This record gives sequence, C-alpha cells and structure tokens, in this order.
Amino acid sequence: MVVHPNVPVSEIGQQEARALFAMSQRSWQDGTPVVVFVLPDSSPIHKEFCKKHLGMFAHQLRQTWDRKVFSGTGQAPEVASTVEEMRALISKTPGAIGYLPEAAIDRTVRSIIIREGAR
Amino acid sequence: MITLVRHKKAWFPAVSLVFCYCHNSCADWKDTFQYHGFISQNFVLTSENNFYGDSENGSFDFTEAGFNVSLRPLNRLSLAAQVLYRRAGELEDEEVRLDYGVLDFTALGTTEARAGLRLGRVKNPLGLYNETRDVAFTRPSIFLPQSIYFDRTRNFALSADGGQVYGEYESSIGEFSLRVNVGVPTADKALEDVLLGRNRPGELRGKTSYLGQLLYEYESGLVRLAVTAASAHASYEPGKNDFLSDGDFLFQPYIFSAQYNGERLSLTAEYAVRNSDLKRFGPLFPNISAQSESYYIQGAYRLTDEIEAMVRYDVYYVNVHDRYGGEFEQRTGRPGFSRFAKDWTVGLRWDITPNWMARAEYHRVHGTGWLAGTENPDPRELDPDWDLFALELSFRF
Repeated sequence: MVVHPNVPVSEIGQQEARALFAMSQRSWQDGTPVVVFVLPDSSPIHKEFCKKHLGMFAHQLRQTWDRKVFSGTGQAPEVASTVEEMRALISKTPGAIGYLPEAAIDRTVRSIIIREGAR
Repeated sequence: MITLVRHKKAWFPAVSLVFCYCHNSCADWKDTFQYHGFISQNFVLTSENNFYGDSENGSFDFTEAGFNVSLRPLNRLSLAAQVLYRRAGELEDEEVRLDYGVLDFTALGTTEARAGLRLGRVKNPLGLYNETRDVAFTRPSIFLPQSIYFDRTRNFALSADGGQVYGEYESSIGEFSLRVNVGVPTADKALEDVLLGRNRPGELRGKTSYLGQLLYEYESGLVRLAVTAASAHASYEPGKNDFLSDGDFLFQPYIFSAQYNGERLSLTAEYAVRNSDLKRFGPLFPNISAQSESYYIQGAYRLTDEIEAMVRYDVYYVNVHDRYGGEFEQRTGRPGFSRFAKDWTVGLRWDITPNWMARAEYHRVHGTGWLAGTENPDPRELDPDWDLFALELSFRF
C-alpha cells in the first residue's frame, strides 16, 4: 500500500484500510481529505490486493461503492488504468492512497504497512 | 406522459454559497466532482397475465436510466443528486424524476465512528436492495423479489423529502450502522390504484413518515444482518363529486434481512411483515386493516468472474388471516389466487465487461398476488399458474 508523501501515517490497521478503500473514512487524522485510487476491478493486482491485504473480495468492494454512488450516500474511488498511472496520480495528489507492486514503488510515493488483524 | 419533478429551488443559493466560500480555501474541490450513470433495457415475456407492458406478446416496455453527480466541496460537506428515467408498462406513467438530491454534513469522522445528517430527497434504506433498486448492476436479478420489493407501489417506499440522521461504528466484532429517515414520501396514482381500487377523483398526499434501519456487517460485508422498521403515512383529499371522504393510510413494514457474501457463493434471505390500515374514507368505503407477510431465500454462485447463476424462492401473502384468499373470493367474487404468489426464479448474469452486463431469467409463479390491476384490469382473465421469462442488457459508467 502506498500513499502521497504528505499523508500523516506510516502504518494502519486492516480495519482502517478497509474503511479507507470502502470509501467510508473520508479524511486523515489531520483533516486532509482522503483520495482513493484503485486499478480496474478486472485487474489481477486489484483482486489480489483486496483478498490478501484487505481480507475481502473485489466484488464485495464493488457492491459497497455501487451502493454509495447510486443512493447518494458516497463516492467511488478514482480508477487508474495502469500501475504507472496509479503511481503518477498518487505522487501528485495530496491525501492520496493506493497500492503498487513492490517493484513499481519509487521515491515519488511512500510505502506504508498494514498491521494484520489489528485496528 | 413525461412528468418532470421540480428541483428544490431553495438549494441553489445554498449550493453557490458553499462554492464561493471554498473557492479560495480549497482549490482542488473541483477534483472531487464525479458523475456516474446507467441504462438498462429489458424484454419481458409471460405465458399468461401482464407484467411490465403487454408481456403476453413480449414487451420491451421496461427501460431504466439514471445519471448522477456528486461533489465534496468541503471535507465535511458533500452534495449528490440523481435523475432517473423509467418506463414500466402500465405499472406507472413514464417519467423522469429526481431520484435523490442530498446535502450531506459529516458531524463526526474518525477511524472508528462516523455520524452526520443528510438533507433533501433521501433514499429509504428498506431491506437490502431498496436504495439502488433501479440499478441493474446492484440487483441480484432482473426483477427484485416482488414479495418485498413491489414494483407496483415502488415510489411510496423509494425515498422521502426530509432528512436522514446516520451513525456508523466500527467495533472489533464488526461494523454497526444506524440510519433514521424522517420525511414525506411520494404518493402517486399507482399507490391510489392499489389502495383505493382505481384512480379516484381526489388525490393521495404523503404525510410525514419515519424509517429506521440498523445494519450489522461482519468482515466488511461477508455477513450482513439488518432490521428495518417504518411507519409511512398518506392522506386522501377528496375531489369534486367524490364519494370518498378525507381518509388516512398507514403502512408499517418490518423487514429482517440476512446475507452471506463469500468468494463464490452468496446467500440472502429476507422476511417482512406489513401492517396496513385504510381508515375514515366514508360510509361507502369500509375501513380495511390487513397484515401481509413476505419472504424469500436466494442463492447466487459465481461460476467464473464473469458468470453468476442464481436461484430464488419468493412467497407473498396479502393477508395472513386469509392466506389463500378463500374468504376474499367469497366476499368479493374476485379470485382467491390474487391474494398470494409463490415464485421460483432461476437466472444467469454475464458481466461482459465492467461496463456491460446481460441477464436472462425464468420465473414459475403460482398466484397473482403482486401483479398490478392497471396491467390486468379484468380479474377474470388472470391465470393462477404462469411463467415469466426476461432478458436484460445494461450499461454503466
């Protein structure tokens, strides 16, 4: 999981990660708005991230976003079409959070850890 | 006929005020703007009885389209609105309406807890599917289980003009959320037809109504449990030469919902009881008090990431004290089988791309309990055993 360098956290619990990617938690502790970036639903990296790091299925996340978007109770995350686009968007968007494969992480973004199981 | 429901005019000054205020303080509020939409075209074929148009001859008279915009000009304030177009045979007039238009203030927003207030036209969280019932992608099938999600009186249950207080709490055992809506529901001609037998000279008007839903989600939706209770009101304003007087309608549904969402398998069940009372419509229209009962059990299995198969059994009784309509038939001469329905459904969903989806489904129905009088005006022509086949093509963005 990676964030824009200004995001005021270095590690988060799995529950918070879920709340962020489910578009429920919309700001960081310091009040900066959260901007969530994901790859398309069909991307194997997206599916793996959901399952392994969030402990949920991509289709569950899709249901949650659709419920919010089409009932007027929330927004959907921004979709980056490629890993490179994801990195570029995160690096230039304050408050951004997303995910990248290890090999694609460089100094323009900051990597953070998900504490398994904990909050 | 196309009816355009008017926007709440008072909103626009408020909206522009918010924009001016944050023009300098948050230069990137424009980046929070989003728009989404969908369009679905359906085909319905029935062996007997009509549903969504002249379905006995095959009906394409079922189209749904929506377009929404949302914006978060301030961290604690967001705006969202959706316009909905719907064409639904003789179930209701073809219309374009404001589906929702909400100003959302987040009063509290921490990692564990969130709370706030939504004002405007707010969707009713009635059971698991009501809020997004018109969006094919969010439904489990082309037709929602009609025992709970009636299409013939949908607008009354759909939304309310007023507000919603919401709170969410994430505990170590899962997330709890509570929503309470207070507002005025839409009472349209379709409701009048169901309640009063046909379109009457006067008009039904929605009155202040209440709804509450408590939802528990384990592991971000792996298991979802919900209880919904509502008390909805409407009153009748008699027209000229009207033999009805200014009666009241009270509708109180209680819905219990449970859902499991595994990687491949999803199981859903909902049970509802509803009390409805029609009172004081005058000497020629006796008071009616009825308790109806509905439930369904549904399973869906994702064979691949693109193909999902579903099966459902859905049961509806108009009156629990006369489940098969024997007394009703004796009293009114109308068929007893119009007082219940048992519906077996099987369906297939194909997600062709993330934006395109197609579906096919087949229903074997016994009873005509949830069919509309507007589509089947002559009760003698109703058939208690009928088949329904439907196709759907839907696009989203």
